[in-house]
Amino acid sequence: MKKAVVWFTITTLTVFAVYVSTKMISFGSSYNGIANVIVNDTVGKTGAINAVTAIVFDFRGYDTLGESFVLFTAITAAAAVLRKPVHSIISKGKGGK
Amino acid sequence: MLLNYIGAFLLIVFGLYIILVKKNLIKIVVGMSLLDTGINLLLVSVGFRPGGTAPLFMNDLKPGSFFVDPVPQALTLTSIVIGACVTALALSLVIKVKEHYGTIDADKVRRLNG
Amino acid sequence: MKSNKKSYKSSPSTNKKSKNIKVNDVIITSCANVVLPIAIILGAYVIMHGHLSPGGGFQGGVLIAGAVAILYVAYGSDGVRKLFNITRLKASESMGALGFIFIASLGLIYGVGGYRFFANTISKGTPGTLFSSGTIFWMNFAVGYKVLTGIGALILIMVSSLNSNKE
Repeated sequence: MKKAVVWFTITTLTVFAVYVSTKMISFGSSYNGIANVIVNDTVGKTGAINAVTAIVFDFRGYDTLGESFVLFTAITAAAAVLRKPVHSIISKGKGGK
Repeated sequence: MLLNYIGAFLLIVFGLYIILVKKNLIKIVVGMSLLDTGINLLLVSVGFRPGGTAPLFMNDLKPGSFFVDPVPQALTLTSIVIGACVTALALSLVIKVKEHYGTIDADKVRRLNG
Repeated sequence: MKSNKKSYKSSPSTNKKSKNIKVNDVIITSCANVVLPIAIILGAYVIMHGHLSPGGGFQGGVLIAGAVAILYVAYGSDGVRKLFNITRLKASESMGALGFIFIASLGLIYGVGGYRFFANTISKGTPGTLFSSGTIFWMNFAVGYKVLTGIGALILIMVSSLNSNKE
């Protein structure tokens, strides 16, 4: 039963993918969008030659800020999961008199 | 250009198949990473313009040359870093599961063990 | 009343005892001695020329963090633990993140053309030289330092939790 569902899903997705990729050639990226404005202003407003670095650090700086948050959270969470517990000595003498 | 899109969709479908079918926990993590790679390739391939060069303002550009779209390339940088972080966290969870349960078979780690 | 709950705790019982391999190979050590300075210099070059050629903060930071992995492969976990301190690496990552936010908030203090958060307020020189674009040059260093120490700390944390399982 589970194998039938899996194979049906995979076949449907593959057929849909091949059909979409033949229609997607004419989709592309338009010549009048935001990329024209950014590329025309790069050397004038920032002075950097690399257009991709100017986008990452100057025109869309908030996305880089959010990504540094994700990096920090992932490393802190990995350090919190892989912590070695310290065996406490207190639990040995409890309940006695 | 058709090859890029078909390759990206094939990677996504392969990654999804591995997550659904395999039972070993490490193979499931490998499938998640494959899914991330397929999505990044799809994102970069959207910004292609036929006949364009790399978006760098070098000194010796021929007149009449134009760039490919640099905005999807900047968004893919962020996506790659996030994919690597998710893989790192998933692998450290697999280490803890092995310590606690003794096995990494996805069928045997079903009950909560206090 | 007997509880029939099986215990899933792993017992370190295999039939063959795993020896602690303390003899390092000569081939791996001498190859690592050649590759390590090249990796560090290449990573520093990619970070510094982020606004002139493809690269930037993230790419160069990961290249230098690969040097920590090469050190672990060549010298074992004892050599790495003598050289790096996990607490200091985690503190350096926080310093890198705070430096990035400090450079970004220079636009609020010295607002040139309006007080905005990510405004480019340091003087931009002539495009094409090393000290050219305003805040992008200093932001590359901050992000590169953050990624370098962060991923180095991540590798050390995962490696030091593996070794305590074997004993």
